[in-house]
Amino acid sequence: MSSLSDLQREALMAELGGLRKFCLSLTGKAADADDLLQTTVERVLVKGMPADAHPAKWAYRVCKNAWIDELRSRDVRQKYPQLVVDGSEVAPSAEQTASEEREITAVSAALDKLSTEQRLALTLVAIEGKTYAEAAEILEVPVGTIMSRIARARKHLVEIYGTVDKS
Amino acid sequence: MTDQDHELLSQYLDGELGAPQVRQLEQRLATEPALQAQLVNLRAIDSTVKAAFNVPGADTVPPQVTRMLQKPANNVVAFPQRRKAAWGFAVAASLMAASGVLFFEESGQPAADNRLADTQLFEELERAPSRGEGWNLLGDGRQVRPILSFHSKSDGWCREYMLAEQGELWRGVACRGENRWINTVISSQDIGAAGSADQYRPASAADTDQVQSFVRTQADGIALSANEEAELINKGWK
Repeated sequence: MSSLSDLQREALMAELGGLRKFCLSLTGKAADADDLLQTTVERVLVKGMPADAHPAKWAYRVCKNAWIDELRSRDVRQKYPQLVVDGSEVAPSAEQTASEEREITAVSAALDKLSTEQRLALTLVAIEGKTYAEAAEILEVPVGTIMSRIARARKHLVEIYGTVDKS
Repeated sequence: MTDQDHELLSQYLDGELGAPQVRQLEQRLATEPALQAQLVNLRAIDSTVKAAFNVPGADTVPPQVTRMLQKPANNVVAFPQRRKAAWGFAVAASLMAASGVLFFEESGQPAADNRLADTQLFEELERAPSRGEGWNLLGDGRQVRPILSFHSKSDGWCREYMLAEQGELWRGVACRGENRWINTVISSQDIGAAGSADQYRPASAADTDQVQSFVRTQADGIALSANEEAELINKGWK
């Protein structure tokens, strides 16, 4: 069972909201994000974390690994087909939700064209607001690698996003 | 545009350049339209990506995940000042319109309950449309999902809802009196460690039956359409 200390548990609890957003930006689907978050917490609870580990960075790293495992094991987007919305009988809040999901889906389609490494780096820095140093620690690569991955990711997005937007 | 320029612009956007590098780049931006145009492009991409994932609910954690991290001793604390689960209240429809509403525990004994004054829940039911998925966040951290609205045989409007708090899920029906909402049926649902708030499991068939039975027996016709419900909300349920 869990080998987390109370402090680690509390720190992880405080980080859950940010982790959930990170999961959403990786998966592009609310249901997948919830699954990924739950998998992350399960792994942390089962495997624990070193006493000297930074709980938030450790959790992001576990999350990143869980997502990569997920990508390798199955096609997430086939499991959760896109929500089909019938506009005639949908409550306003549901319409709003559907609109937000369409926007997420469109951006996710663009992010899907990046390599996994580029997407992770860009997500951590541009969406989560991590510094290059923090992202480097989470992804276990040098800061310079983060810098070049993000630059290449942005360059690719400039090239491909217009295509996605028009589709 | 060289790869080095792209890296410079990217670091500039992320605030990762030192002051001398910033000054140098800004001088170039002032004189190099292509560099400036690419910065605009990169900024637009960043804004789009950020906006897409900074939507309400993006950081909403499923209750079952929060519960996984709660210490065992705290695992059963759900509603402070409220009795814990295994209680399902049902109110006879004939009592709904009365000024005093009687609640009965499963033992059959009447019980006072401060859910009658759940102001935040009722404010949300007063103004929020029903939704098929997702949650509306209340000021105290609880989450509510209005499920449907219907006209009751007692000549009032009722709303079925789900309420999530600290890993517990509740299902209930509140009906609107002259100027306020009153909870008429509430039952606790056990979503379980492997469950999902979107796929709740009832703690017992009896609990769920109380809500279902109330809706089935007291609804005067079918649930309102989205447009009908929106019109009622706009009119203050009059």
